[in-house]
This record gives sequence, C-alpha cells and structure tokens, in this order.
Amino acid sequence: MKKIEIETRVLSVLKTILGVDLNSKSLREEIDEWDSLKHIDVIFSLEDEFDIRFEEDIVNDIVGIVSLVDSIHILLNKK
Amino acid sequence: MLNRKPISLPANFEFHHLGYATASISIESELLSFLGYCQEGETFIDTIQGVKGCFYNGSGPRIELLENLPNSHTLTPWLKNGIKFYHVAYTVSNMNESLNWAKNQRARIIVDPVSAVAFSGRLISFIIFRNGLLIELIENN
Repeated sequence: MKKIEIETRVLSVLKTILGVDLNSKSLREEIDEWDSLKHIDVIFSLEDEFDIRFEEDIVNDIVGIVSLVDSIHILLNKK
Repeated sequence: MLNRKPISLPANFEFHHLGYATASISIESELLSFLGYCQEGETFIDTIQGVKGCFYNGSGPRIELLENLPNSHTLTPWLKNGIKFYHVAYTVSNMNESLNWAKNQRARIIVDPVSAVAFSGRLISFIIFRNGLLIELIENN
C-alpha cells in the first residue's frame, strides 16, 4: 500500500476519534485533543483499520502523522 | 449478534479497588464520608505516577482517590472528560503471567511494572483493553 493511501486512511480515522481536522504534518503535542488516553484509542483503531499490531515500544515514539504513517507502512510491508 | 467468547479473569485475580480521579481529594473525601466511607491508611505521594492518593473503605467497594501532583498531568485526560471512576485494580499472584494473559486478550500495557509507594513497593502495572477499560495489576508478595 502506498504511503499516500495510508495517510488518507489515518487522517480519516483520527478525525473520527479526535473530532478535528489534521494534516500530514500534524504533531501530537500541537493537538490538545490528542492526549494520552486518545492516543491509545488511536492506536487500537489503526490496528483494526490496517489489521496490524504496533510493538509496545513503538507506541510512545509516535509523535505525529508522519511517524504514524511510517510505522504502519513498515508493518504492512512485513505482512 | 456478536458471538464472542466472554473474557474471564484468571482465578488468581482478586479485586482490590476502584481508582477515582479527582481535582481535589479533600473535597471528594468529604462527599465519600456522607456515604459511610472512611480513610484507610495514610495519604501517599507517588512521584513516579505523578499522583497523590489515599484509600477509602465503606459501604461499597474500596475506592482509591487520586489527584495530580503539581505540574503532573497523569489524570488530566480523565478529568478533562469528566470521568471519575477510571480504573479497576486487582491483586495478582504473578505479574509476568498476568501481563501475558492481558496481551493474549489484545490488551496493551500502558505502564510497565514499577514499584508503587501505595503498596509498600510492590509492583504495579496498568493495562488497557480495546473497549477502553483500564486495569491496574498489583503483584502479591
């Protein structure tokens, strides 16, 4: 799957969960709605969306859309 | 209709308390006293978790009142959303086995096992299930 397609789906999922529009450069620290509790919801929802499983140690390294898309891209390529 | 096998807790899980997030323990404890609750033990400060807390016993399940330490935001996501009862705590006989059980239920560890001042240094860990249920595990000696 191409990164642009991943990004589109990621932004759609996050809009549903956070209720705000994000873009490809959005960072967690800039989005009040993207707190630690919502972050877990984001991770669970993206795992379901892409049928993947994030490693425990990667979850805290995800700081924004770019790192989310990169992580998903890597996981999809491993499948 | 969903036909999922219900999750059953391992036999060694024993209920310990409900975690209750508050902006003010002093105000909340006064309200709990109206329900017949009394403080159990000393108030504690856990700088690792960034919280101040104390336990209350009374007419219902044991409650752990918790508030953020100054400059800590541990409880803020729950407080911001008006969620007071936010975790269920169980004592477990073996932390590693319990965490493996949780992983097999597709839960996620959000706080790795760490010593907790509230339990005389015993290990605690927090896991969250996919429905948002937060569980604290407390290892028995």
